[in-house]
Parts: sequence; structure tokens; C-alpha cells
Amino acid sequence: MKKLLLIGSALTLISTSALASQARLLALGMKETDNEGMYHVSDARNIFLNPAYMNIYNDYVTAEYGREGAFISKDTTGATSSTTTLDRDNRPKAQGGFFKKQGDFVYGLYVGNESNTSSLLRIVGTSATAAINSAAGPSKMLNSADNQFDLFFGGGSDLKWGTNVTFAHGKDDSRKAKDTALSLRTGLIGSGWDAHLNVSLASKAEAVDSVNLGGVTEVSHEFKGKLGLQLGGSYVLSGNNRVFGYVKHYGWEQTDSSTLAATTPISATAVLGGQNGTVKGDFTSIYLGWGTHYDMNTSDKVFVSLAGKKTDINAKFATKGEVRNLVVPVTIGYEAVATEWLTLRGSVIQNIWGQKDNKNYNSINPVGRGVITNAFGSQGKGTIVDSTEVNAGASLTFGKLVVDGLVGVKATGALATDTLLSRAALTYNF
Amino acid sequence: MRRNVLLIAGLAVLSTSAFASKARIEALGTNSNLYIKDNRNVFRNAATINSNKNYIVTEWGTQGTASGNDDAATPRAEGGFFKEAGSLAYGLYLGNDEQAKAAVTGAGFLRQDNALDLFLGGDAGLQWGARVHYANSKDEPGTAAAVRKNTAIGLGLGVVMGAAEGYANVDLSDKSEGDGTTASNEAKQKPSFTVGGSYVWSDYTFFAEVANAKVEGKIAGVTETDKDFAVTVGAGRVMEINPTARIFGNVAFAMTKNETNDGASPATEVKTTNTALPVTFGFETDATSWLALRGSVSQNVVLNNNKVETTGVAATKTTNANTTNVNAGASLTFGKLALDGSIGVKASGTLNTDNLLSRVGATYSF
Repeated sequence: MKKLLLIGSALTLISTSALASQARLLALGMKETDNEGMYHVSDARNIFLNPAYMNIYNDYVTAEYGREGAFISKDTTGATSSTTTLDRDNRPKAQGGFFKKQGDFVYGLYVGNESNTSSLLRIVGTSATAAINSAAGPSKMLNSADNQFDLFFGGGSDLKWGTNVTFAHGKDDSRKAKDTALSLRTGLIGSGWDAHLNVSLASKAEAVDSVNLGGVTEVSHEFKGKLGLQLGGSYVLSGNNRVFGYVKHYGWEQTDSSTLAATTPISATAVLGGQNGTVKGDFTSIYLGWGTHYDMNTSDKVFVSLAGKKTDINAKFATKGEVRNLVVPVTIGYEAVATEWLTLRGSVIQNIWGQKDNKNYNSINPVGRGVITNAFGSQGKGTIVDSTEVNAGASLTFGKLVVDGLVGVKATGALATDTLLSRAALTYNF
Repeated sequence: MRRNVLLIAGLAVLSTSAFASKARIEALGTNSNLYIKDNRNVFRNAATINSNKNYIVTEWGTQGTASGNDDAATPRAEGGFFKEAGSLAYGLYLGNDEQAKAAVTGAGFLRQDNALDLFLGGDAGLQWGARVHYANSKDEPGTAAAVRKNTAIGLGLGVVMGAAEGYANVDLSDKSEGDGTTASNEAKQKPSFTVGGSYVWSDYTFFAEVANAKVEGKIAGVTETDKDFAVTVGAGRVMEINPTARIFGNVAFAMTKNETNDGASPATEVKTTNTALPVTFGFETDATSWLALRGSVSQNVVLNNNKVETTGVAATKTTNANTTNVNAGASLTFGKLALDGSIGVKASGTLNTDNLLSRVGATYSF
């Protein structure tokens, strides 16, 4: 209590500033695998959706607190190391960047923003034999992208434009592992509209791993991404009313040298699904929606959106693993400047339509199966359960410095004061 | 509650003061000590005592890690004072025990303990400074074979000449005798050094540093060695946004090499080489008259190689994983007293209030 009073006393002296972080958009209901932004909520984070946003948000340094993220292995709860990581709310990846305006142009550098979608596909693309490895051994997953950096450059006034090149590379000779990721984002913001085309030019991960499973002692496996695209944009109908949408499509090939038969029983919960040789996969997501915000006064806003998202994943093993999701979430959010130093926000989301028809998860390696289940629901046909989700966040504004974060403990519904903010981010506007 | 109100009321009328601690340096990110001014730099360049004096600093902690080393999670207690005397300045610092290698701590030798550093500096147009480092410890449990001793002595010299500075820190001797079972076993650091310098040109600070160290262990007639070599060359810039806020960044080429030889016949040698290009940027700002906040993000870009060569084994090359590092810190200023510390929990990305500050350093300026 004493500490809170201390902080509160300090903050009363300061003024508001721009807010920008993953935490802010998550609190307002963002539901994107890569936390890349929201079309109807203006935020600096939207540069990862449309890099032309750098022309609106620049001259700042941001640092999002975290470390390596969540290690992904078959022992998902106890994994303390892995070559594969995902960014999660309770185990975020450290990342940050700066953006500076120079005359008519803006440039920036951002590090550590590795894509969860890319990691998910590499997890699915990992050899099932390597993912199981042995009865007790840790999973030997293909590397997810690491030490990624993004270079940004943009400009324009009436018509704003932006580009962003993303690159990541890693290698480990001890397991003949290499991975590379290269992509290009381009975007435009016009009067009442915006559009972007984000292209994955290369995504490759390969490794040769020692295993001890069903007589197999070594597995050579590779994930090779095909040309990936995300084409999208938004259009202002009137006032703050905006329609938006995108199409994402990624294809890949995965190669597995394991000779274990398609039906080799490994355990009651892990059965190989015929990954031998080279098989293909694809991920397609189509998103269409409407969103708006209502200005309640000069500082407070209410956000409303209704969108439909269809996600299909095909892992074309001998027995094809499939994800089929169709959700239509409605999101209602608010953001209120409680005091000059404290901004609070929150949202409630629920699918008014949510159907899944997921098949043959057992074809997917057990680690990938867990990640897919977490993201797209369990195997089978039916409605997606428990889609109601409440998020909340806060920003502490210290003049030009803003500390954003999520607040509250969802599982217990508590507002804990020992963890003041989670997914904390610091942004300094200069 | 009454005390809370008093504390808050006190803070409201306080002015800013200098910040100086390990926590601040860590929050400012990789290589920040090579181009950002901080009182802590007196251990890098003793001549900086001339511009950082008249204060007492205490870094909170206990004995450090299980092996007695200092790290952010388990800091070691240390502190000292620095005072001017006419055109001279002097200081005494306690507990800045040098980090010990596993060849010393793992083998049961006594490591540096209860170290003290004496500083003397002066400004006669050219700023100069010198530091003498000394540590001595002994453990005589009653049997001659179990006797353990450690003695260490080092010397630091530095100058600051306008925009340029140079320094050399030399470990003249660091010898541990007796590993608890055999009194004749020993581990000693061969004369080792860190030399470096920097030059400020057009708002940029160009810096370079070379470090070389060698530890030799003699156990049961077998001599094993552990050598380190490091080169850092880079440039950094601090942009003052206003008198109470600044942003900064640096890029550097960093090469480190570690070579170990187990002394066996035939010997197994392991050579580990790291080459990296870490990029760091961040900010520091006075949020209020009594609260300063700082943060940084760093990552190896383009160059990020690790190579391990072991006798009889094919060399392995890897990239260093997860080099993205975000640090944050805060300083609470109570007039002439400043409490620095690290904030946040990296693994969970949380900003907690049960541990308001960690790795706390308290500085009182007089």
C-alpha cells in the first residue's frame, strides 16, 4: 500500500502522452497470433500490420519487458530450454525499438519481434519422431526465428507510405541446424483508407537430430516456407465507422527422414501420422469486420467491433491433419483517462458464432498438437467453448514516458497489487 | 499510514541528484559504461574520480552467488566513499571482489574476499587517477593440509584529457593456495589487464577496450589454464532531449575468446570464440523531481557467432540464442540521497510492487 501511494503521489504531477504497446491492444481485445495490430484502434503497434503507421507514430523509444518467451517442448509445463519459443502473455519475449522522424522521412529499428505464426508452422513442421525424441528425452524441435531485427523506412504526407524488412538467422552446427526468415512489409495510408501487403520471402529451418525411438536413431527434418502473403486494409465508411479485412496465406513443405510407419504407436497420446518424406501444408486466414469508436469526451473512448475470421490449416500427411475455425467475435472495449497520470482500459469479447471442425490431430506431432489445440480448440466438430474473455490494462503516464501493462488475474478475477502490471512496456516519446 | 504520508510529503519537495550504481549501468544496457557518464565508471577509469566525488555509495546484497560472484539476481554487498581534498580526490571502496573463475571456486580454493580499493586522483588540467586493489583472506581449520589462503593485488591508472580518455587496469597478482585437501595445490591469476580509451567527436563517443586474463591452476602436479581475451570497439551517442531526459544508443563489435587446457596428457583444449555486433538503445528521464526512470533494449544483429573448438572434436558453430535483452530501472531521489534499482521481472514480463526495486544501490552526495 505504501509503495502504491508513493507511485500515486509521483504520478499526480505529470501529463498525458501517446500510448503504444502490445499490452494496450491486448487489453482492448486484439486477437491476432502475432499481436500485429488492430485496424480500428490507432496505435503505434500497428506498424507490424501496416508499416505506414510509422508516419503517425514516431520519435519514440519503446522497450517491452520479457525474456526468451515460453519454451515449447512436449513437456510444455516444465520445459526450461528449447530451440523453439512462443511469445505469450505470461512469458513474453523481450523486444523493443525506436522510430525517428528525419525531415520528410521516418526510419526505425525494432528487435525481437519474432512471429508466433512462423513459430507455430515450424512447430507443426517438425518431425514427429524428433518432437517425441525418446521416452524421457526433451523434444528436438526445429528452431523458431531468433534475434530478429526489423528495419523501417517511410514517408509521405497526404499519402503516407512505409516499408519494413525483417530478417532473422540462426545456426547450430552441433545438430546441423540452420534457420532463416526474411520478409517485407509495405503499406499505404490515404484519406479514409489504408492498405498493406506483407510478404514472407523466406522461412526455412532444418536440423539433423539424434533420437531413440522405435529403432530410429537419427532424423533429418526440414521446414521450408513457400511464398507467404498478407493482403489487407481498411476503409472509413463515415465518421469513425470502418470496415476492414485481410487475407493471410502461407504454404510450406516439410521433410522428415524418419522411417517409422504411419501407425507406429508411440504412446496412448502420441501416434505418428505419416510424415515420412516430403509433405505439404498451408495456413489460410480470412478476416472481415467492422469497427468504430465513440468519443465519450475529449479523452475517453468506447470501441466496438464485429468481425468474422475463418482459419484453415492443412497438414497434408498420409492422414491429413486439419484445423477449421470460423469465429464471429463481438468486442466491446473502453479506454478512459482516469487521472492525468492513469489511463485504464478493458474489453469483453465473445463469439456470437464460433464453430470448429478440427480433424486428425494425431497426425500432427504431439508438441504441435498442443500448440494447435491451445490456439484453435481441440479436435472434433462443435462450438468453441468458453469464448468469453475479459482483458484489462493500464497506462501510467510520466510526462513523455508511458508505462503500459495488463492488469488483473483472469483465473481468479482478482486485481492483485503485487503484480502491478504484466506484459509491461515502457515508451518514451521524444 | 501516517508514516506513508510523511514519506510522500518528503519526496514532494526533494530535488534531483546524481545516480550511480550497478543497477543503473545494467538498465542502460550493453556497453553503456563505455560512453555514458556514471560514478561507477571509476572502476574502469580511476581518473573519473575527479568529476565524481563527495558521495557515499552502498550496493545492497550479501555474499553473492554460491560461488561468491556478483550477479543481478544475487548481488554482493559493497560500497565506499569518494571525497575531494583541494585539487585532489580520494576514495575507499569495500567489497568489490573480482569475479572468480570456476577453476578457483569449483576446485575449492579461497576466492578474493573482503577486497578494498583505494583511490587517488587529481586535476591539473589533465585529470589523472589511480586505484590500488587489495584482498587477503585465510582459512586455517586445524590441519595443515586443509589450510587455504588468497592474496590479490591490482592497480588501475587512468587519465581524462578533454574529449579523450585512456585507462589501464592490471591484476598484478591473485593467488589462491590450498584447495581444502592439499595445501600445495594452487590457483593463480597471471598478470592480466584491461586497457581502453574513448574519444568524443561530434556528439559521438568512439570507444575501444581490450582485456586479457589468464588463470593457472596447479592441482596434484597437473597445471590447467583458463585464458580470456576480449576486444570491444564501438560508438555511442547520448542525445539530451532536455536537461532531465536523454535517449542514447550504441553499436559495437565485440569479440571474446576463452581458452581452457585441462593439463592432462594428452591435454584437452577448448577454445570458445564469440563475435557479435550488439546494438543497444534506450532512454532515461526524470519522471518527477524525485523519480527517474530508465530502460533499454539490446540485441545482437547481423553478427552473432559462437564457435567452440575442442581437441579431437569437430568444431561447432552456433548463433547465440535469445540475445534480445530489455532492462529497466528507477531512481528515487530524496534530496541528496538517491536509491537506484532494477525494476520488473524479465521472465514473466511483469512490473511487481512486492519487490519495488532490486539490486538496490544507495548514494548519498555531500
